Amino acid sequence: MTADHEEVQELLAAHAVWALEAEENRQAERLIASHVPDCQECREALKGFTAVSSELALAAGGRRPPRVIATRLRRQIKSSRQRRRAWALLSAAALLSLIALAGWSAHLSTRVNDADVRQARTGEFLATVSHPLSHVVPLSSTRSTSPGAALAQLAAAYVPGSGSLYLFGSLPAPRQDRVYQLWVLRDGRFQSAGTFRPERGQVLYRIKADVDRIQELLVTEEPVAGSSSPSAERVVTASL
Amino acid sequence: MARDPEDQRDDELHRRLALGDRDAFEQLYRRYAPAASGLAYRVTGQELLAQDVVHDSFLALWKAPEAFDPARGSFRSFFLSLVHHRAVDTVRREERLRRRSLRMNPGRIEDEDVTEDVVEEAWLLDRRARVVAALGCLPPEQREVLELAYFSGYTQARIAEVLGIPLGTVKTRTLAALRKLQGMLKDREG
Repeated sequence: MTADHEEVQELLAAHAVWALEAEENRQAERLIASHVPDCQECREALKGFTAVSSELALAAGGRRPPRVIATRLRRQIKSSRQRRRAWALLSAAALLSLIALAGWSAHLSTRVNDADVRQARTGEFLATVSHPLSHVVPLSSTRSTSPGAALAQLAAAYVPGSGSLYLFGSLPAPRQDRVYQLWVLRDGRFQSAGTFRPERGQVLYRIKADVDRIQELLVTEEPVAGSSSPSAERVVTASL
Repeated sequence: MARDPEDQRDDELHRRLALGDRDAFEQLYRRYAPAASGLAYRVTGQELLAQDVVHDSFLALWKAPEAFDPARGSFRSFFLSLVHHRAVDTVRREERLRRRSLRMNPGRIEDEDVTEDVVEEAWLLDRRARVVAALGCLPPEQREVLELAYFSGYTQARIAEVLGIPLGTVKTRTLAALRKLQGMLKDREG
């Protein structure tokens, strides 16, 4: 074994027991991403250290957890299941009234020109979701530092072969100096479909695209100018 | 190498969990909540902090089950590492380190091992007995470094400071301790 490997494995061992300072931890994670995948010796070492480290957890002794933890978890899980089910059960008719309401309230509070454009866009959208062949696909929240991830309630609507896709629903404002960016996965590669900001917490965003070629949708939070590839700040995603 | 039957059972529960199966989540909770609670309490030394760590870990599992990749190890290893990282991060954030005893009591692990409150499956108790025995066989200076890191949440730099030894020595002792434990646990399983 080379001295370099020994040093790497010292770092991996310390990482496994979570005993590194922040900078060293980043260094270890860089190694895990760059060196370890191509080095069988270090890969085996890391796997072994991680396994031993989790066995050490058992040495702390078992302890009956307070009832309050399970109670809190069950309540939170139930509400998240209800949200998922609610999405699944949303019919085109319910969506129509929901979006019409959002469009109407926006219409009342914006300038006339903007309102005309919005009304036209809303009309097209309503035609899409009420089309007998329309697909409405909810987007799932991702684990992310973006505050939008936990609160997003977004869906995509499209009619196969129509050339348009609508992203709609509710989404909190992005953080300061940030925008949301929509990405479409085509031929295994994410391509930008533009940036947007919610208006009064509502999103109605249309893209022109051959939806039949889109495999996945992704919304990320990005700097105002947008990015050339999706950052790690993923908000919601859906497979088409 | 064939996967341990208990690991296979975890894999199946995790597969169902990924589909939103609440019963699978409940079963994983029953399997690992006692171990997670014991670990979180041991690291944080605070009942409420420990509760938060256990709660947040299970909730994270429910929200992002895809974070576990069976190709990278066992579910048990993944989940208890998650709990450990959260517990250590919590204790560091709360700056509890300064208030806690710097001396580790090597007998403490065995003392805490079996209590009436513990509701765990026999296979997990067997694994615990093995790792406690293996820890007891480590040279004291290696065990001290490992326990300060793992159970007290000290960074290696802090351990060097507390014990008055070079940082390099802390690193080599940690590596040696993990390698020895790995060998001993493999022998005992074999």
